[in-house]
Amino acid sequence: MKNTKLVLFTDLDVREIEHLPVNDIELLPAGKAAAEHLPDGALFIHKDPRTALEAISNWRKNAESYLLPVIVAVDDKLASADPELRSSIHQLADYYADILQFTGANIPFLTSQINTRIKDLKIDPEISSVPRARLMLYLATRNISEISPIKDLRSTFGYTWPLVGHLIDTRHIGDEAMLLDGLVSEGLLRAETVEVIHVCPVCENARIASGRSCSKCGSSVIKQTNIVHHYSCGGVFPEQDGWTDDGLRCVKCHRKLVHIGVDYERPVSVDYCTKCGHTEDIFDFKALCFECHHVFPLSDSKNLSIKSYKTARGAKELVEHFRAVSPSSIMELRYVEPIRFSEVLKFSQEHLRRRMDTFSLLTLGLDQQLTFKDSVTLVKHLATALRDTDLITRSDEFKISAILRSTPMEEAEKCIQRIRNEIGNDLVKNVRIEEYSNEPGDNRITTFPWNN
Amino acid sequence: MEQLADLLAYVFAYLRESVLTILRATPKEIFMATWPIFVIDLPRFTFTAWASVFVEKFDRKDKIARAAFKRKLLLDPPLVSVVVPAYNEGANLLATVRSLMKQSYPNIEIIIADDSSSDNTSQICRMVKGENVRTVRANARQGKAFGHNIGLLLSRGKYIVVCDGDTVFHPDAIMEVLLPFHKENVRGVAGNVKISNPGASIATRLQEFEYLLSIDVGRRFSSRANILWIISGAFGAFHADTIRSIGGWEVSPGEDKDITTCLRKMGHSVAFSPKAICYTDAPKTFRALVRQRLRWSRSLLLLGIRKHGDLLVQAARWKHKKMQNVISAWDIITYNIIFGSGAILVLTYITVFSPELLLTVLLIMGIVYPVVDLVNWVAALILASDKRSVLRLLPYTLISWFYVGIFLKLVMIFAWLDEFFFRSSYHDPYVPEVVRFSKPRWGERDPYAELRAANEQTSNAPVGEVA
Repeated sequence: MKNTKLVLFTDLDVREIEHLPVNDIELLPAGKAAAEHLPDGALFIHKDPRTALEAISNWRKNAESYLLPVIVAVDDKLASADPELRSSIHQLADYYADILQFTGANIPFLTSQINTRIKDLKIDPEISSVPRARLMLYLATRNISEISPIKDLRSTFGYTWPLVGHLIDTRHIGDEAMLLDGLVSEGLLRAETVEVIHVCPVCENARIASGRSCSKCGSSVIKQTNIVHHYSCGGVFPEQDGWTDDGLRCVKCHRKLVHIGVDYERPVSVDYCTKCGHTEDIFDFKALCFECHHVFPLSDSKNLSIKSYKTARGAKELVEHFRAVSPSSIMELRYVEPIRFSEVLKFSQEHLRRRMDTFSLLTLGLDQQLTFKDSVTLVKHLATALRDTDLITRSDEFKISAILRSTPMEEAEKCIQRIRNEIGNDLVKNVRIEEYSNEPGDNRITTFPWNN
Repeated sequence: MEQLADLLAYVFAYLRESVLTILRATPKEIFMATWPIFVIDLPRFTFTAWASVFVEKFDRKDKIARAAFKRKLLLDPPLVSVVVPAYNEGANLLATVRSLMKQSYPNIEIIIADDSSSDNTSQICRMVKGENVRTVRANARQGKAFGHNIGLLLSRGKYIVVCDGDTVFHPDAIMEVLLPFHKENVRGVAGNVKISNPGASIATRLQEFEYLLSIDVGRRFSSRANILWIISGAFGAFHADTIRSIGGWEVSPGEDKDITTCLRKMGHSVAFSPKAICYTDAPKTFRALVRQRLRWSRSLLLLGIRKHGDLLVQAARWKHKKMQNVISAWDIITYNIIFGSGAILVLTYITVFSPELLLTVLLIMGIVYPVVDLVNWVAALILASDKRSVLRLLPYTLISWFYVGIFLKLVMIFAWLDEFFFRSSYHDPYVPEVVRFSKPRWGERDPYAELRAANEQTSNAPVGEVA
């Protein structure tokens, strides 16, 4: 049997790993030599799980090697001390073992299986150059059906999707959640809300602390207290205000209160501020953002949905989709991913004033959720009716949007006519045109049925 | 048949004689029958009603001041705390809260004090609880005064508005009730209470007519003369800090009259806002009406004479000596107790010693009093904002004199005698029994005073010793 070639990454001395049972596995040194030998995968043997994760992450971010199998052996005891770290390594590795219990027994079979799957998909380099495609193809080749969030207090929301962060450099794409939501818009993932969290309304950070605080002085040192009702004079006061050295006395008439149920009663309990003495039936919850130090009522916090994402398409469909929307296709079809589209729209709005360039946002409401084939066909037809400077995206499962630059509403309507001639009356249900211009007042908006 | 014919002949002859007697009556006899009109009704009610008509037409200064204050309130509205004491008000509470939420005044908090209700009041409280609505529930019944006082303790507003659990507010009620506070010395304002169920029975219609003349018209004058003696518990607004300085509401029937008197004794003024309209349920049957008026009248004696009797002689210890306080105190005593009792006594005298004059007197009253009521009704029509509701009350000018002048006065006299001899207000279930037991007994020796003193001594004694 042909030896499985694995590139070796390790933080141990070579002599320390010589004893490892790696029969049928040819270990290639990392670096230039490994690239020439076209490995079947990579083997990471690290004592320190942190360095292992960093190395694996770099491997996965590489467009040439991201799909290749990864075998990992780390000190599981050290890894277990940081559950998030261990979870991340698990998500990125195809095979995980404790460094002391590592055997090479199933590795050739596993790597062969994965490589066969990759070969069947016929993924070309152009597809791999699209970051979000790498994520989806990784999920498809590993039969991973769900990307779940894990708690991570270091992140803004308190949750991360480590698989995304380690497969893609999200610095230029936006945060992980935005990227995943964009894939949902493209119909490649399905989102399911697993948690709703409160975040700061100003900076959307989840690191907030909340508690009851006095509405008068803002102190959070609050206690519950009984209210005393003195029957004789009708005096009503917090119990701690009535205690003197002499016993409990009415605050109103200063008579002594001796027998509960006869002289007085404690019919109600309320919240009491120990700092200023203010009393309320229940103090409101206030929150403090540790990031921007904004103090706000908890009811004013923003609700953010944390979602789990499930794959919606099979592997072959994904390859087809990304082939259709590859960078060269983008040049031809003017198709961009939704995040990029939103950025261009925002940019265009901001520069509207300076450039005096009226543009229109066209939104086609689809009659049904399109298959990839249909959506690609539709986009191709759209592209023939649009100009090189226009952009298209699939903004929703049921919507396709286009930015028509330097196009007032009347011209946009003529454009709609051209599109209708191209694609006919099927697939599209209605169309909305919103004109962005420097004219005073609100933007002009018109909506009409596609058949009209 | 013959006997019936004889009876009818006798009645007809009697009526004819009475009419002839009226026509032959001397001015002195007519005065004997109608003196309450000249002593009570005309000066106190008719002249004052028409005085209000003219003053309100021509008093531009007050209107301008109110408009300026209203602008100020709208620019920077201070918080108003509305306290709703509720005991078994499940049928009405939701309507009350809804009417408060629809107020034109923008800055309101509502505090519902559930006095350990046994119906669905607490469920309604849970339902309406929100940002501006807070609820508090007592674990045992404490009485209406406790509801007011706990609301005062928990309130955050500059002004506090009190009402009943079945009061429904006009959308501008809260705004209008705040306007008299533009005067610095005004610390309490009475709202205009109307009947929400006027068509339920003849009793409610008569009460509607009575409220129209005594509250809507009558209190306008009292307010302008600064002799207003009561801010109804059904709808009243107060300056919160002032009420706190008084110590809140008293545990007693008539706590609304008591708090008003306390405010006056402190040297403050109270006012009436005719456009601050609210609606409250009136007793539908005469039996329920009698129970209500007995309680009101007993509290009048209890508080007006027993507790605050010093106002009648303007006790020197009150540093805020104001003649209006004396007039206000005597106003109630004179027109309600003295003259009211006097009218009934005269009628009783005629009935006992000159029964042949009784019908004549009643006939004269039945002609003259409706005329006076009609004159008062015209004044009310001019003053009212809702003319239609006043117009439909026109027929009741014919019979209101009997309801107010005889029926209610009989009830009042009974109440005062009952209170004077038997102190029945101390047994009124309006105040829970356990609270009633501890209530101080003004004007008499407290039978529990020694027991209380003994208890206080016992509690002061060191442990192990017997006092």
